[in-house]
Amino acid sequence: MINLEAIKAEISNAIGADKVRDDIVTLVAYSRDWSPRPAEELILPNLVVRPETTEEVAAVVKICNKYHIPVVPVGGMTGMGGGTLTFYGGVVIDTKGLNKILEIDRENLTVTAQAGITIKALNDELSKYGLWLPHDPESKPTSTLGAAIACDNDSTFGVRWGKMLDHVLSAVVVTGSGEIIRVGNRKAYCSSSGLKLHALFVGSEGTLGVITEVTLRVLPIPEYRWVDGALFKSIKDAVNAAQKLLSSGLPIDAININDRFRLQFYTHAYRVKYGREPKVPEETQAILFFSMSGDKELVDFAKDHARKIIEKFGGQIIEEREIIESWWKSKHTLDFDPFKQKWPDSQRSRKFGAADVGVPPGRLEDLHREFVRAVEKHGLKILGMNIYNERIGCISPSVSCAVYVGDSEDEVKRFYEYVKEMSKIAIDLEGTASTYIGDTWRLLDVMEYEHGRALEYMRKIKEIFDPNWIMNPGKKFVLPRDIEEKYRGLRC
Amino acid sequence: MLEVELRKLGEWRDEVYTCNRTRCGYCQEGCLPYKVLGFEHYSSRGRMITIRALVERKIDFSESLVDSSFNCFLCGFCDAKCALFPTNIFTALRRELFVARKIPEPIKTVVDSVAKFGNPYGLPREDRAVWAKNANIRRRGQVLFFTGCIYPYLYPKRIHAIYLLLEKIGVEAVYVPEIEGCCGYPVFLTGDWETFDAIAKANYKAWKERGIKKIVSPCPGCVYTISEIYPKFIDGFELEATHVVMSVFEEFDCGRIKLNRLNRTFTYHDPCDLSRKLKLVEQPRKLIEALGDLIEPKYNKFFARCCGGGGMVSAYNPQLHLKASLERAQELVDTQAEIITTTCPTCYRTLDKGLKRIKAKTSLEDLNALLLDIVY
Repeated sequence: MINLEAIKAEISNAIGADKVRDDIVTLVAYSRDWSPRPAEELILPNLVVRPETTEEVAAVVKICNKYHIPVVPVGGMTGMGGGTLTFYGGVVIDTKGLNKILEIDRENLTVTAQAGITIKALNDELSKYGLWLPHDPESKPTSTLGAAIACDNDSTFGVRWGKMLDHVLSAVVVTGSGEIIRVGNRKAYCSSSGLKLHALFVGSEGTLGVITEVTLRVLPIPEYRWVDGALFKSIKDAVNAAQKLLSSGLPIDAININDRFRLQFYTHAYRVKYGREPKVPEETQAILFFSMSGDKELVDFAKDHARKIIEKFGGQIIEEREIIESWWKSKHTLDFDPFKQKWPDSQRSRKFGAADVGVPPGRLEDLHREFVRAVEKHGLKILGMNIYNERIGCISPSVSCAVYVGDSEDEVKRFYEYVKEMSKIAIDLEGTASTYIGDTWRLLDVMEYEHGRALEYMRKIKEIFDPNWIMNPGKKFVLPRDIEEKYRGLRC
Repeated sequence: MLEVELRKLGEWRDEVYTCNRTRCGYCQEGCLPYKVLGFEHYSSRGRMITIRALVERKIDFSESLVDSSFNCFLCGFCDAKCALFPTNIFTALRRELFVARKIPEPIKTVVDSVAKFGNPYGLPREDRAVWAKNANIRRRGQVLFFTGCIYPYLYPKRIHAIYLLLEKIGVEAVYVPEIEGCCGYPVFLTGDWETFDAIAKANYKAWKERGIKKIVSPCPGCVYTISEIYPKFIDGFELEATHVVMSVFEEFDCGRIKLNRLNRTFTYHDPCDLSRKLKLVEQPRKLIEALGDLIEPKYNKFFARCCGGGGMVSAYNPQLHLKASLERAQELVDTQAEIITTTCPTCYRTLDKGLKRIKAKTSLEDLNALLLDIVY
């Protein structure tokens, strides 16, 4: 029998009682992330701690490991897959207390920071030096560095600068046994030495340990950016045009391809301003949005060249700048009117939910067909497909197959069945089950289908870092039966 | 205008569930209680989910719920970053706590002082008008000069200067100490709406009996309370309330007055009640820009951070009040402007504490009073 009071006392003694809470109000506040869940569901941890140093994190994990009690590290809690939910209770480590910038190295273009700082806060500080971390998810005001690494989420600028894997040079992590180790190669941008353990933590979803400190490469902020968009008769045409934009050597730094269903989100501002619909040809099936950045003279030249390519590939340039600005606001600037931020207002009755799959570029039309079919099959309402591109310099689809989800138990259940089906379809299309949300608990049934025998190797790696399966149990890996039974009793 | 809506907590279900299904957390960035205290339930997002649990009767009126509720400045940063107006809901939470007799002792003391002495500080009622004793004060007219509580008790010289400013720009305002008391805002914020109702109605009755048609005040909290909250409690409410800065701006904007340029650099702290609640952000800036160069702090206008003086936190948790003032003071100092200015006595008082604590050399000026020597 686990004595939670004793564990609380021991943790309080180690890191200070003011950083440890177990009152119901605190626990409730950590009961949910951005994932679709039934309206009245509460999944509570037993304890929430808010350490401020790597050593404090290690002390907490050591105690939890000694008592074999689950540990769930959380960052901004904006994950869309339930990665921070404490299905087996345990101790939530709120990493936002680790929010200091330790070094901005201008000569070597690196920053070292504690992992609980938000991406926006880091970039606000870096901007004083003319620098930025180009990792740019929509959740950046809330999402932390550690969470962005652990969830391997998408970035607006992935097609030019990649994802967190491309930015992380090294990290300090606390393993599941409470040991502090440094992974990666200090400030080296590339290394052939050893195994790339830091890469294991990218997308690890807190199952290997807690990321507490990171050293990242950063870049000078581009002088100027131009954002543009065009309409196409098919997704394929848009992909072909985008491929040419990239191969032509233009300074492209973002590419999104949306299906027709999503157009309404970006025409709203135009409708409000002019009181009428913008002129969009009936046959439009895809909208290509892109941005280019660099020195102004160069980008100005590139703008005309890009437009020529688009027209050559059958695209129609969007002349209504309101549409383009709406897309840019929704993805990058988040510069919404005061008191009118888009997220809550667009989810007053139903939530956005998505299957986040990846397929090779040539399979996108097939995926779209399957998306429309699957949404109907599961009785959901379609929101639309958005194709992000997340590998450097190539069409590299990370696809959001988004739907509206109500918060009844039945609809949430149907949503996750839909997600699983879409993930299997993506694997069948020679792709992957998840590209920016992560496996979490929702794809446990799909893991073997995706990874086959390799999954066993992954479990062994997991056990090296976390021998007692305390780290974020029930996510990414099916728990061993005896541990599952033990943890089940902890759930509040 | 941020629409004040007085609903019972349970009637905010749609907003609470919408936040619950959104969880974007954009509200957290400029929320000083969250920054200082750290745990989720001190932010708007976290408090919203605890309210959901309360509405669903999964939790009760515990000490930690009270703590979450009163460690909030009700500054509205979350309102500006959202579309759900969370502070309406947090005000309703305080009301529920009041009804459940869960109001913390330090807060009760403030309410008692307002009820007994007509001010939150427990100071003698008659001291309110000391500043006007030897002043040449207008006694009859339709525009009432309403000082609020902070100025006459804590900054009597300055309130006199503000009165002279109004005279100088041609606003013929009367001052009637016999009918002036607290507007009741602190009481409203505690959830004691019965006492607030009585204060509001008594004030309104007295003003009407004197034939008052308009109120001008240098306190944004008073202006907000009278213009936005009173109408929710008083049927047929008919009275205009405006801030001194608006009166000056109107005269300046139509060219009837001019301002001497000081050729100094200024930064401006937006008071929450003036900016987010009354939506007055550009008018004070236009006045400041006429005086000198304006340098904006990182968080400004509708997205300004609280000075630490809002929501009765100073009474409930003086440590948080102070820490928040240090944060905001430092942010204003970081602009490297020569003069920090604001238009609210609460903000002035709170920032003054913060600036002294961080040993800032930047001077702090109350724009309301500063204008007297500059207007011509």
